[in-house]
Amino acid sequence: MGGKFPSGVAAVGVGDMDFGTLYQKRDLPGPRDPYELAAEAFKNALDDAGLKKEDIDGVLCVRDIKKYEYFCYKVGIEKPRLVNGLESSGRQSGIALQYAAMAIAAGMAHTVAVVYSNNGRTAAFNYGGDGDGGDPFGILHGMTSPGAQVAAMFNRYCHEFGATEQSLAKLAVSNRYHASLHSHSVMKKLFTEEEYLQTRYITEPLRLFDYCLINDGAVCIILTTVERAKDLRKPVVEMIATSACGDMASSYMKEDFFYKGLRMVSQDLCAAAGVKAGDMDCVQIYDNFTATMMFTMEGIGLCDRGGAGEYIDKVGITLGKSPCPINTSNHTSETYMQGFNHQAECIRQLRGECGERQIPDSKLAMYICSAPIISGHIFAKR
Amino acid sequence: MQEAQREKAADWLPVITEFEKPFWDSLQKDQVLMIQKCEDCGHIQFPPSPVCADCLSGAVSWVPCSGKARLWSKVIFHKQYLEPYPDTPYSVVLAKLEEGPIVTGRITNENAQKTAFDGPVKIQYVKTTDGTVLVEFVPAD
Repeated sequence: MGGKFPSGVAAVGVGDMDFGTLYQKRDLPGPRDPYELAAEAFKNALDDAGLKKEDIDGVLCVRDIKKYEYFCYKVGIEKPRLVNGLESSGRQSGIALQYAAMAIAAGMAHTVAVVYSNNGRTAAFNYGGDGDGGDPFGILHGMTSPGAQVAAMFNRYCHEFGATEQSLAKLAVSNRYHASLHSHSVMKKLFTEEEYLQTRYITEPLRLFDYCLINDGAVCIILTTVERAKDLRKPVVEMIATSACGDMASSYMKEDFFYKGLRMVSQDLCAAAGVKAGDMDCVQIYDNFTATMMFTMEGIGLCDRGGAGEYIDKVGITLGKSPCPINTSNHTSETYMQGFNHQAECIRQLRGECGERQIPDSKLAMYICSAPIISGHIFAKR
Repeated sequence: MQEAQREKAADWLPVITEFEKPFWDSLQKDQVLMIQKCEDCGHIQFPPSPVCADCLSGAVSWVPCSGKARLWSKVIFHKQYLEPYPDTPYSVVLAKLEEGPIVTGRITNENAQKTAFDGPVKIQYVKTTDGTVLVEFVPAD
C-alpha cells in the first residue's frame, strides 16, 4: 500500500437536499420512500455536474436503497456497466466512493453515481435496539450498540490519557456552530459548554449531544475522470488518495480505539498525496459520536496519542479559529448522512461553495472514518 | 430490579449452533464460563471460534476461565434499548480476564462505582426468573 492510487479520478457532482425541513416534517403516518429521496439527490447531483443521466454508466446504491435494480429502474438507467449495493452501516460511505474510483481508474466504468438514501427517522429504525453492533454475549448482558461501545472506549481512554468530558463539550459546541452555518441543517440552535454538561446521559459518559442525529435524507456524489471533469460545470476536485483497512474484532469495541488501523490508513493517504495531516485545509471526521473524533484526530496524526484534548484547546477545531477546521459538516448537529455529508463537504469546500462556512483558499480536504472498516480520502482542488 | 428478576432474558440468547452448544451448555447448565485454548500453540480466545485464530489449528479445547479479571471499562445505560433491561440507570462492565480476553458482563451500579479501572474483579453467576444464567463481576480482593 501507499502507492499512487487512484490517479485521474474527480468528484464532479454533489446532490443533497434540505435536511432541516425533512426533519421538521418527521411525524408522518408512514416512512418516507427511500427511492424518492435518492432520486431527488441523484437529479441534484446531475444538475450540479452538468451531466445527463445517459452519461452515468455506474451506480452504487447504499443503505435504504438496497434494491439497486429497483433504483436504476426508477431513474431510467438500464445498462450500467458497474452496479451494486452496499449494506447500511456508515463505514460503507468511504468504501463506496473508493469502489467507484477503483472502477473508473481501472476503466470498468467512466462516470459513477454513488447514491445514499436513509429513511431511518420516519421508518423508526431503532439504532442499537436490536443489539446492532454488539456481540451476542454482550447483548445478553445489557450491552448494545456502537454508542455504548464508544462510551466504553471513551471511558477507558479517559483513564489512560486523562481526557475529560470538557473536550466532548467543545466538540459538540463546535459541531453545532458549524451546523448553524448550513441552511439545510437539522439542528442550528447554539448551546454552550455549560448547557452541554446539563444535558442527559444516554450511555454514560456519552450525553445526548455526543450522539449522531437520526434524520431522513439522501446524498449523491458523482465521480468520473479528471479529463472529463475539465469539461463539466464545476471546478475540478480530484480524489488524490484513498485507503481503507479493516479493524476486525469480536465487537465494535477496539482496545486501541482504532489507533493502529487509523495510522495505516492515514499513512497511506499522506504518502500517496505527499502531504501531512496538518497540511489539510479541513478534516471531516465521521462523528457517529463526538468521542470518535478524538480517537480519529490522534490516529491520523493531527496530534500525539492522548493529545486530542490539548489539540482542541490549543490549536482549535472551529471555523475562524483553527488553521484546520474539523467537521464543518457533521452528524451530531447538521445531518446524519453517514459520512456522505462529510464527503460532500470536502468537495464543496474545495470548490469554494460554502458561503458563511467557507474555509478561505481551500486546497486540500480529508475525509476519514473510524469503524470496523476504517477508510479515508484526500481531495485536492485542481 | 435484581438480576434474578430480568424477564425474557432468554429471548436475547443467540441462535445456538452445534459448534457453540458446549459453550452455552456450560454457562446455562453448569454455570461455568468457558474460553478456548489451542492444543497446538496455546493461544487463548473468547468469543469462541471453530479454529485457533492464531495458528488455524482445529484442535481447540473448551477450558473454564479462572474467573479472575480486571475492570477494563464500564458504561452506565440511561436509556433502555433492550426489553430485559428496563431498570435504567444500569451498569455494564467490560472485564479483562487474567487469561487475556475481554468479557462483557453484569455489574451492580454500586460495584461499578467503587471499582477502579484495572481493579480486581471476579465472576459470579446469577440466574434470572426465566432460568437464564448471566455472568456478573464483583469486586475481588
